[in-house]
Amino acid sequence: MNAPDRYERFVLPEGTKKVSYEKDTRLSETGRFTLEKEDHTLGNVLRMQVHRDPNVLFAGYKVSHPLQNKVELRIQTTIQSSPVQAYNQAINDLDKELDHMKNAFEAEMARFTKDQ
Amino acid sequence: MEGDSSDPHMPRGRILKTRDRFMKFELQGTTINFAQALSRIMTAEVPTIAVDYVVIEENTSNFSDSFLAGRLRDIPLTSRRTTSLCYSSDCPNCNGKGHCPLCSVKLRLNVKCKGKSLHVTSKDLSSSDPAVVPFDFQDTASRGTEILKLRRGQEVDLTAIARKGLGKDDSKWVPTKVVTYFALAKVRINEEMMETLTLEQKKEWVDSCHSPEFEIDPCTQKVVLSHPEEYVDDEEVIRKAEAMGKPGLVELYRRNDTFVFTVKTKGSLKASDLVMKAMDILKQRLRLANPVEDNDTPDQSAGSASHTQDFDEVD
Ligand SMILES: [Zn+2]
Repeated sequence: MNAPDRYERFVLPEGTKKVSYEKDTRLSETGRFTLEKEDHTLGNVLRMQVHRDPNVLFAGYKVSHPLQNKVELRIQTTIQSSPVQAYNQAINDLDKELDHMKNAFEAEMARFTKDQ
Repeated sequence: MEGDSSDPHMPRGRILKTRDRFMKFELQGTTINFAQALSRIMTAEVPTIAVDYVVIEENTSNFSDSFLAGRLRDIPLTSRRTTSLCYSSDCPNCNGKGHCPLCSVKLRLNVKCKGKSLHVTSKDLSSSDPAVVPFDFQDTASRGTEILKLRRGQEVDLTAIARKGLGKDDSKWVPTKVVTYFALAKVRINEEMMETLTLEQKKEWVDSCHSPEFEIDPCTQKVVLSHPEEYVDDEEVIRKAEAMGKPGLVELYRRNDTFVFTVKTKGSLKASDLVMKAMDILKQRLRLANPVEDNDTPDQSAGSASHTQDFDEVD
């Protein structure tokens, strides 16, 4: 079988950076995040979450290299914020939302199991 | 969830129906992208265990070796213990060969037809791991999934090697039979106009709806939508109202923050486990993507004037 990294697509070998950030040299409050070993699924969710931030002027993503599974997320914010701030905020918010949803599901499952 | 209105931004989940391999639930306060991500992960990125390789010792049946292998690959195997099994490609024990107990489970099938004919089913497989068996193995009500039929004197002896994998690599690892989601439709009945209809007209209109969710309350004779979460957009009721000379009798619009999911699994995972696992996976991936060090302190020297100037350079 000639497909390297067939399964473990999201975890990187130790010492490799999962996310790197590059500030735009021409535009202020603009930068590009590169996520290694990621795909549309996360790119799309992240972009949407970043969009919810009122300080975000632009957020777009592309899968820069489908074979390497690299996602590029470009963010521009107002001067009240910064791309890094917006990015970290989006990740934290999504994380919280997921926790919330998981807890809600566990409680619902418990309710259903009791009923049956 | 009831009593959980502290933060309007927080998504809420509600299970509408759940059975072993089936679950219908509603997510509120989320986005279409999130719904998309969750459904994609459930289909393609939650690991399961499936037959990946078959070693055939003996096959005197009417079926080819590759047919048999295909049948075995399609039998869902209980996959609750995927966490304790390695992916064969990075098994530290057998260097990725995928034949050792750390990364594979062996299912032996050794059957011989001594009578006139014999139906060989998933229940004839014997697994090296009691936690990894055909999904209907312990179901006493089921006769098992048919694999093949043997005639007198025919024999099959094989070992199926099951491994952990992801649906995006091969359909045999896809845990789902169906995943659908739709944005919940909000329905507004124009009560005043509705009351101008006779009971016959109301009945006529209710009957035009393909799904039976509109009902006439026997006491009040009012038209009500009994299960909003069941309601699948049905333009027919609108056209019917127009045809009856009552445009605007009902309005339908989609809520873009509430989605109703229907999940049916093939049997390798319980529907509820699959949903929870999908959320865990999304969470893990978010955790991996976090955090970024802030080496980008907002540039104070960049005044609003130069900012606007810079902004013009976009494109
Ligand atoms: Zn191994």
